[in-house]
Amino acid sequence: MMFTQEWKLLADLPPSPHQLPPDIQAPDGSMRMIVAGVAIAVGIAILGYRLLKGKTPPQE
Amino acid sequence: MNAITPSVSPASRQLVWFGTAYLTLIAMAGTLSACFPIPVAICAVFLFAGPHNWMELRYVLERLPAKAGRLWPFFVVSALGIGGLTASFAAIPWLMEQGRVAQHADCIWQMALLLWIAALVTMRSRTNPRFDAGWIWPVVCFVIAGVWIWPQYLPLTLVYLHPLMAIGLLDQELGRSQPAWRAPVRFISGAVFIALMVIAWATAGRNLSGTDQITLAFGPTLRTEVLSQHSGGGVLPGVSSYFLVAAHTFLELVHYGIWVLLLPLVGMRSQPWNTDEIPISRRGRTWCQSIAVTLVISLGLVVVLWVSFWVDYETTRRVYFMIAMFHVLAEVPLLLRMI
Repeated sequence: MMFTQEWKLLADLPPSPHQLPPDIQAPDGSMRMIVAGVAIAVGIAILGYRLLKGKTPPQE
Repeated sequence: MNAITPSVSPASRQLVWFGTAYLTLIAMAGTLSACFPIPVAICAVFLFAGPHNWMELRYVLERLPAKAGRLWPFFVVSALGIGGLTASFAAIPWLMEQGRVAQHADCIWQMALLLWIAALVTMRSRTNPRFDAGWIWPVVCFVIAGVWIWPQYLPLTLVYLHPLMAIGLLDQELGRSQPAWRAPVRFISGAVFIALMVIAWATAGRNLSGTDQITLAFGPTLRTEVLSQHSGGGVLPGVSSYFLVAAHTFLELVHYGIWVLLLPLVGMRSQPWNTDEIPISRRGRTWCQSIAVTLVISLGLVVVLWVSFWVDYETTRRVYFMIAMFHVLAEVPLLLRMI
Protein backbone atom coordinates (compact mmCIF):
# COMPACT_ATOMS: atom_id res chain seq x y z
CA MET A 1 0.00 0.00 0.00
CA MET A 2 2.76 2.33 1.04
CA PHE A 3 4.70 1.49 -2.11
CA THR A 4 1.69 2.18 -4.36
CA GLN A 5 1.18 5.59 -2.79
CA GLU A 6 4.81 6.57 -3.26
CA TRP A 7 4.72 5.37 -6.85
CA LYS A 8 1.65 7.47 -7.53
CA LEU A 9 3.24 10.55 -5.97
CA LEU A 10 6.31 10.16 -8.12
CA ALA A 11 4.22 9.67 -11.23
CA ASP A 12 2.53 13.01 -10.59
CA LEU A 13 5.79 14.96 -10.56
CA PRO A 14 6.36 17.39 -13.46
CA PRO A 15 8.61 16.13 -16.26
CA SER A 16 12.35 16.74 -16.23
CA PRO A 17 13.59 19.76 -18.21
CA HIS A 18 15.55 17.27 -20.30
CA GLN A 19 12.29 15.74 -21.44
CA LEU A 20 11.04 17.49 -24.53
CA PRO A 21 7.31 18.20 -24.48
CA PRO A 22 5.50 16.08 -27.10
CA ASP A 23 4.43 19.10 -29.19
CA ILE A 24 7.98 20.13 -30.08
CA GLN A 25 8.84 16.66 -31.30
CA ALA A 26 6.64 17.27 -34.30
CA PRO A 27 7.72 20.23 -36.44
CA ASP A 28 4.89 22.69 -37.08
CA GLY A 29 5.98 23.01 -40.69
CA SER A 30 6.11 26.80 -40.93
CA MET A 31 8.56 28.77 -38.83
CA ARG A 32 10.87 25.81 -38.25
CA MET A 33 11.05 25.01 -41.97
CA ILE A 34 11.67 28.66 -42.91
CA VAL A 35 14.56 29.00 -40.45
CA ALA A 36 15.97 25.64 -41.58
CA GLY A 37 15.80 26.78 -45.20
CA VAL A 38 17.56 30.05 -44.42
CA ALA A 39 20.29 28.18 -42.50
CA ILE A 40 20.85 25.80 -45.44
CA ALA A 41 21.01 28.75 -47.85
CA VAL A 42 23.54 30.58 -45.66
CA GLY A 43 25.58 27.38 -45.30
CA ILE A 44 25.67 26.84 -49.07
CA ALA A 45 26.56 30.51 -49.62
CA ILE A 46 29.51 30.32 -47.18
CA LEU A 47 30.64 27.03 -48.68
CA GLY A 48 30.42 28.48 -52.20
CA TYR A 49 32.35 31.56 -51.14
CA ARG A 50 35.09 29.41 -49.63
CA LEU A 51 35.33 27.25 -52.75
CA LEU A 52 35.45 30.28 -55.07
CA LYS A 53 37.93 32.15 -52.91
CA GLY A 54 40.18 29.13 -52.47
CA LYS A 55 41.58 27.81 -49.22
CA THR A 56 44.02 30.16 -47.55
CA PRO A 57 46.64 28.64 -45.27
CA PRO A 58 46.50 29.76 -41.63
CA GLN A 59 48.92 32.60 -40.90
CA GLU A 60 51.59 32.01 -38.26
CA MET B 1 73.66 -19.44 -15.03
CA ASN B 2 71.56 -16.38 -14.47
CA ALA B 3 68.29 -16.10 -16.28
CA ILE B 4 68.07 -13.02 -18.46
CA THR B 5 65.23 -10.87 -17.21
CA PRO B 6 64.03 -8.02 -19.40
CA SER B 7 64.39 -4.69 -17.63
CA VAL B 8 61.21 -2.72 -17.35
CA SER B 9 61.60 1.02 -16.95
CA PRO B 10 59.57 2.81 -14.26
CA ALA B 11 57.79 4.77 -17.02
CA SER B 12 56.69 1.55 -18.72
CA ARG B 13 55.53 0.14 -15.40
CA GLN B 14 53.48 3.30 -14.78
CA LEU B 15 51.93 2.97 -18.22
CA VAL B 16 51.00 -0.65 -17.52
CA TRP B 17 49.37 0.37 -14.22
CA PHE B 18 47.55 3.25 -15.88
CA GLY B 19 46.38 1.07 -18.78
CA THR B 20 45.23 -1.65 -16.38
CA ALA B 21 43.28 0.90 -14.33
CA TYR B 22 41.64 2.28 -17.49
CA LEU B 23 40.75 -1.18 -18.83
CA THR B 24 39.40 -2.24 -15.43
CA LEU B 25 37.28 0.89 -15.32
CA ILE B 26 35.82 0.13 -18.76
CA ALA B 27 35.22 -3.55 -17.96
CA MET B 28 33.62 -2.88 -14.57
CA ALA B 29 31.50 0.00 -15.85
CA GLY B 30 30.31 -2.10 -18.80
CA THR B 31 29.49 -5.17 -16.72
CA LEU B 32 27.68 -3.26 -13.97
CA SER B 33 25.73 -1.10 -16.44
CA ALA B 34 24.64 -4.07 -18.52
CA CYS B 35 23.59 -6.15 -15.50
CA PHE B 36 22.04 -3.49 -13.25
CA PRO B 37 21.43 -0.34 -15.32
CA ILE B 38 18.97 1.36 -12.96
CA PRO B 39 20.65 0.89 -9.57
CA VAL B 40 24.05 1.67 -11.10
CA ALA B 41 22.69 4.82 -12.79
CA ILE B 42 21.22 5.96 -9.47
CA CYS B 43 24.33 5.18 -7.42
CA ALA B 44 26.78 6.62 -9.98
CA VAL B 45 25.09 10.02 -10.06
CA PHE B 46 24.69 9.99 -6.26
CA LEU B 47 28.35 9.16 -5.61
CA PHE B 48 30.26 10.87 -8.40
CA ALA B 49 28.22 13.81 -9.74
CA GLY B 50 29.61 16.21 -7.13
CA PRO B 51 33.19 14.91 -6.82
CA HIS B 52 33.76 14.81 -10.59
CA ASN B 53 32.59 18.43 -10.89
CA TRP B 54 35.01 19.39 -8.11
CA MET B 55 37.90 17.60 -9.80
CA GLU B 56 36.97 19.28 -13.08
CA LEU B 57 37.02 22.71 -11.40
CA ARG B 58 40.40 21.93 -9.84
CA TYR B 59 41.77 20.76 -13.20
CA VAL B 60 40.48 23.85 -15.04
CA LEU B 61 42.03 26.15 -12.40
CA GLU B 62 45.39 24.47 -12.95
CA ARG B 63 45.07 24.92 -16.71
CA LEU B 64 44.09 28.62 -16.64
CA PRO B 65 47.02 30.93 -17.38
CA ALA B 66 48.08 33.41 -14.68
CA LYS B 67 47.30 36.26 -17.07
CA ALA B 68 44.90 36.01 -19.99
CA GLY B 69 46.93 38.37 -22.20
CA ARG B 70 45.89 38.03 -25.86
CA LEU B 71 43.47 35.25 -24.90
CA TRP B 72 41.13 37.71 -23.14
CA PRO B 73 38.49 37.70 -25.95
CA PHE B 74 38.44 33.89 -25.95
CA PHE B 75 37.94 33.74 -22.17
CA VAL B 76 35.25 36.47 -22.24
CA VAL B 77 33.27 34.72 -25.02
CA SER B 78 33.69 31.40 -23.19
CA ALA B 79 32.44 32.81 -19.88
CA LEU B 80 29.52 34.67 -21.47
CA GLY B 81 28.49 31.54 -23.38
CA ILE B 82 28.78 29.23 -20.38
CA GLY B 83 26.81 31.58 -18.10
CA GLY B 84 24.22 32.70 -20.65
CA LEU B 85 23.55 29.28 -22.13
CA THR B 86 23.26 27.64 -18.70
CA ALA B 87 20.81 30.29 -17.46
CA SER B 88 18.73 30.16 -20.63
CA PHE B 89 18.75 26.34 -20.57
CA ALA B 90 17.25 26.44 -17.08
CA ALA B 91 14.60 28.91 -18.33
CA ILE B 92 13.52 26.86 -21.39
CA PRO B 93 10.63 24.97 -19.70
CA TRP B 94 9.19 28.31 -18.49
CA LEU B 95 9.86 30.14 -21.78
CA MET B 96 8.13 27.51 -23.88
CA GLU B 97 4.84 28.22 -22.13
CA GLN B 98 4.98 31.97 -22.85
CA GLY B 99 4.11 32.49 -26.50
CA ARG B 100 4.54 31.59 -30.14
CA VAL B 101 8.19 32.58 -30.55
CA ALA B 102 9.00 31.29 -27.06
CA GLN B 103 7.63 27.89 -28.13
CA HIS B 104 10.79 27.63 -30.20
CA ALA B 105 13.02 28.47 -27.24
CA ASP B 106 14.60 25.02 -27.42
CA CYS B 107 15.61 25.50 -31.08
CA ILE B 108 16.86 29.04 -30.41
CA TRP B 109 18.93 27.71 -27.49
CA GLN B 110 20.44 24.95 -29.61
CA MET B 111 21.19 27.45 -32.38
CA ALA B 112 22.89 29.79 -29.88
CA LEU B 113 24.95 26.87 -28.58
CA LEU B 114 26.13 25.97 -32.09
CA LEU B 115 26.98 29.58 -32.98
CA TRP B 116 28.89 29.92 -29.69
CA ILE B 117 30.92 26.79 -30.46
CA ALA B 118 31.62 28.06 -33.99
CA ALA B 119 32.79 31.42 -32.60
CA LEU B 120 35.10 29.68 -30.11
CA VAL B 121 36.55 27.39 -32.81
CA THR B 122 37.19 30.44 -35.03
CA MET B 123 38.87 32.35 -32.18
CA ARG B 124 40.92 29.31 -31.23
CA SER B 125 42.06 28.86 -34.84
CA ARG B 126 43.64 32.33 -34.74
CA THR B 127 46.03 31.47 -31.91
CA ASN B 128 48.95 29.02 -32.05
CA PRO B 129 48.90 26.28 -33.19
CA ARG B 130 46.75 27.82 -35.93
CA PHE B 131 44.45 25.92 -38.26
CA ASP B 132 41.91 26.62 -40.96
CA ALA B 133 38.51 26.89 -39.24
CA GLY B 134 36.49 28.30 -42.13
CA TRP B 135 34.69 24.97 -42.49
CA ILE B 136 32.99 25.37 -39.11
CA TRP B 137 30.45 27.99 -40.28
CA PRO B 138 28.86 26.04 -43.16
CA VAL B 139 28.85 22.91 -40.97
CA VAL B 140 27.13 24.81 -38.15
CA CYS B 141 24.58 26.26 -40.61
CA PHE B 142 23.66 22.76 -41.81
CA VAL B 143 23.43 21.47 -38.22
CA ILE B 144 21.23 24.48 -37.33
CA ALA B 145 18.91 23.51 -40.19
CA GLY B 146 18.76 20.01 -38.74
CA VAL B 147 18.03 21.42 -35.28
CA TRP B 148 14.99 23.33 -36.58
CA ILE B 149 13.65 20.32 -38.44
CA TRP B 150 14.42 17.67 -35.79
CA PRO B 151 14.90 19.55 -32.48
CA GLN B 152 14.99 16.40 -30.39
CA TYR B 153 18.29 14.95 -31.65
CA LEU B 154 20.92 17.53 -30.66
CA PRO B 155 20.08 17.39 -26.92
CA LEU B 156 20.25 13.60 -27.15
CA THR B 157 23.60 13.85 -28.97
CA LEU B 158 24.88 16.08 -26.14
CA VAL B 159 23.76 13.52 -23.56
CA TYR B 160 25.96 10.88 -25.21
CA LEU B 161 28.73 13.16 -26.49
CA HIS B 162 29.46 14.76 -23.14
CA PRO B 163 30.76 11.55 -21.49
CA LEU B 164 32.92 10.95 -24.57
CA MET B 165 34.46 14.42 -24.24
CA ALA B 166 36.29 13.18 -21.16
CA ILE B 167 38.06 10.65 -23.40
CA GLY B 168 39.09 13.50 -25.72
CA LEU B 169 40.36 15.55 -22.77
CA LEU B 170 42.32 12.57 -21.44
CA ASP B 171 43.89 12.15 -24.87
CA GLN B 172 44.87 15.83 -25.04
CA GLU B 173 46.24 15.74 -21.50
CA LEU B 174 48.40 12.71 -22.36
CA GLY B 175 49.65 14.59 -25.41
CA ARG B 176 50.97 17.27 -23.03
CA SER B 177 52.14 15.31 -20.01
CA GLN B 178 52.85 11.75 -21.25
CA PRO B 179 53.17 11.78 -25.07
CA ALA B 180 54.56 8.23 -25.14
CA TRP B 181 51.37 6.92 -23.49
CA ARG B 182 49.05 8.51 -26.02
CA ALA B 183 49.00 5.76 -28.65
CA PRO B 184 48.49 2.80 -26.25
CA VAL B 185 45.85 4.69 -24.26
CA ARG B 186 44.02 5.57 -27.50
CA PHE B 187 43.97 1.85 -28.23
CA ILE B 188 42.40 1.21 -24.81
CA SER B 189 39.86 4.02 -25.39
CA GLY B 190 38.70 1.99 -28.40
CA ALA B 191 37.53 -0.62 -25.88
CA VAL B 192 34.77 1.82 -24.86
CA PHE B 193 33.14 1.39 -28.28
CA ILE B 194 33.68 -2.38 -28.20
CA ALA B 195 32.04 -2.44 -24.75
CA LEU B 196 29.09 -0.48 -26.16
CA MET B 197 28.66 -3.12 -28.88
CA VAL B 198 28.85 -5.90 -26.28
CA ILE B 199 26.22 -4.12 -24.16
CA ALA B 200 24.00 -3.77 -27.26
CA TRP B 201 24.37 -7.49 -27.94
CA ALA B 202 23.83 -8.49 -24.30
CA THR B 203 20.76 -6.29 -23.85
CA ALA B 204 19.15 -6.89 -27.24
CA GLY B 205 15.38 -7.14 -27.00
CA ARG B 206 15.27 -6.31 -23.29
CA ASN B 207 13.12 -3.48 -22.06
CA LEU B 208 12.80 -1.74 -18.74
CA SER B 209 9.42 -3.21 -17.99
CA GLY B 210 9.14 -1.55 -14.62
CA THR B 211 8.02 -4.82 -13.07
CA ASP B 212 11.32 -6.61 -12.58
CA GLN B 213 12.66 -6.91 -9.04
CA ILE B 214 15.48 -4.38 -9.48
CA THR B 215 13.24 -1.70 -10.93
CA LEU B 216 10.62 -2.29 -8.26
CA ALA B 217 13.24 -2.08 -5.53
CA PHE B 218 14.42 1.30 -6.78
CA GLY B 219 11.04 2.45 -8.06
CA PRO B 220 10.26 4.70 -5.09
CA THR B 221 13.65 6.42 -5.51
CA LEU B 222 13.42 7.31 -9.17
CA ARG B 223 10.98 6.60 -11.93
CA THR B 224 12.36 4.29 -14.60
CA GLU B 225 10.80 6.49 -17.28
CA VAL B 226 12.96 9.43 -16.17
CA LEU B 227 16.15 7.46 -16.79
CA SER B 228 14.78 6.06 -20.02
CA GLN B 229 13.75 9.53 -21.27
CA HIS B 230 17.11 11.01 -20.31
CA SER B 231 18.85 8.30 -22.32
CA GLY B 232 16.69 8.92 -25.38
CA GLY B 233 13.88 6.44 -24.81
CA GLY B 234 11.24 8.89 -26.10
CA VAL B 235 13.27 9.97 -29.13
CA LEU B 236 14.44 6.52 -30.24
CA PRO B 237 11.34 4.36 -29.77
CA GLY B 238 12.75 1.52 -31.87
CA VAL B 239 15.76 1.06 -29.60
CA SER B 240 15.61 -1.06 -26.45
CA SER B 241 15.15 1.24 -23.44
CA TYR B 242 17.23 -1.23 -21.43
CA PHE B 243 20.14 -0.74 -23.85
CA LEU B 244 19.78 3.05 -23.84
CA VAL B 245 19.87 3.30 -20.04
CA ALA B 246 22.71 0.74 -19.83
CA ALA B 247 24.74 2.51 -22.54
CA HIS B 248 24.27 5.94 -21.00
CA THR B 249 25.07 4.64 -17.52
CA PHE B 250 28.21 2.97 -18.89
CA LEU B 251 29.41 6.15 -20.60
CA GLU B 252 28.67 8.23 -17.51
CA LEU B 253 30.66 5.80 -15.35
CA VAL B 254 33.63 5.97 -17.72
CA HIS B 255 33.32 9.78 -17.71
CA TYR B 256 33.28 9.92 -13.91
CA GLY B 257 36.19 7.46 -13.71
CA ILE B 258 38.31 9.53 -16.08
CA TRP B 259 37.68 12.74 -14.13
CA VAL B 260 37.99 11.31 -10.63
CA LEU B 261 40.75 8.76 -11.20
CA LEU B 262 42.64 8.90 -14.51
CA LEU B 263 43.01 12.63 -15.23
CA PRO B 264 44.29 13.40 -11.70
CA LEU B 265 46.88 10.61 -12.15
CA VAL B 266 48.40 12.20 -15.24
CA GLY B 267 47.16 15.79 -15.30
CA MET B 268 47.66 17.21 -11.83
CA ARG B 269 51.02 18.65 -10.92
CA SER B 270 50.22 18.73 -7.19
CA GLN B 271 47.80 17.34 -4.61
CA PRO B 272 44.23 18.60 -5.18
CA TRP B 273 44.29 20.69 -1.98
CA ASN B 274 47.65 22.27 -2.83
CA THR B 275 47.04 25.57 -4.64
CA ASP B 276 50.72 26.38 -5.26
CA GLU B 277 50.67 24.86 -8.74
CA ILE B 278 47.63 26.88 -9.81
CA PRO B 279 49.03 29.69 -11.99
CA ILE B 280 46.41 32.31 -10.96
CA SER B 281 47.28 31.85 -7.28
CA ARG B 282 50.82 33.08 -8.03
CA ARG B 283 49.45 36.52 -8.87
CA GLY B 284 49.26 37.46 -5.21
CA ARG B 285 48.00 36.60 -1.78
CA THR B 286 44.41 37.68 -2.52
CA TRP B 287 44.24 35.48 -5.59
CA CYS B 288 45.68 32.54 -3.68
CA GLN B 289 43.14 32.97 -0.88
CA SER B 290 40.28 33.36 -3.38
CA ILE B 291 41.24 30.11 -5.08
CA ALA B 292 41.43 28.30 -1.73
CA VAL B 293 38.03 29.69 -0.66
CA THR B 294 36.50 28.69 -4.04
CA LEU B 295 37.78 25.14 -3.65
CA VAL B 296 36.53 24.86 -0.05
CA ILE B 297 33.07 26.26 -0.96
CA SER B 298 32.90 23.84 -3.91
CA LEU B 299 33.77 20.99 -1.60
CA GLY B 300 30.91 22.11 0.66
CA LEU B 301 28.59 22.05 -2.36
CA VAL B 302 29.62 18.45 -3.04
CA VAL B 303 28.50 17.55 0.49
CA VAL B 304 25.26 19.54 0.05
CA LEU B 305 24.62 17.62 -3.18
CA TRP B 306 25.11 14.28 -1.41
CA VAL B 307 22.70 15.29 1.38
CA SER B 308 20.14 16.57 -1.16
CA PHE B 309 20.33 13.32 -3.15
CA TRP B 310 19.78 11.43 0.09
CA VAL B 311 16.75 13.53 1.05
CA ASP B 312 15.04 13.79 -2.37
CA TYR B 313 16.81 11.95 -5.14
CA GLU B 314 14.53 12.73 -8.08
CA THR B 315 14.20 16.48 -7.47
CA THR B 316 17.95 16.82 -6.82
CA ARG B 317 18.72 14.83 -9.95
CA ARG B 318 16.48 17.10 -12.03
CA VAL B 319 18.02 20.26 -10.59
CA TYR B 320 21.53 18.83 -10.88
CA PHE B 321 21.22 17.95 -14.57
CA MET B 322 19.88 21.45 -15.25
CA ILE B 323 22.82 23.15 -13.49
CA ALA B 324 25.29 20.54 -14.76
CA MET B 325 24.89 22.13 -18.19
CA PHE B 326 27.45 24.61 -16.81
CA HIS B 327 30.23 22.02 -16.70
CA VAL B 328 29.14 20.42 -19.98
CA LEU B 329 29.60 23.80 -21.68
CA ALA B 330 32.83 24.57 -19.78
CA GLU B 331 34.43 21.51 -21.34
CA VAL B 332 34.07 23.01 -24.84
CA PRO B 333 36.54 25.92 -24.44
CA LEU B 334 38.74 23.70 -22.23
CA LEU B 335 39.02 21.07 -24.95
CA LEU B 336 39.57 23.74 -27.62
CA ARG B 337 42.40 25.35 -25.64
CA MET B 338 44.07 21.97 -25.23
CA ILE B 339 44.07 21.16 -28.96
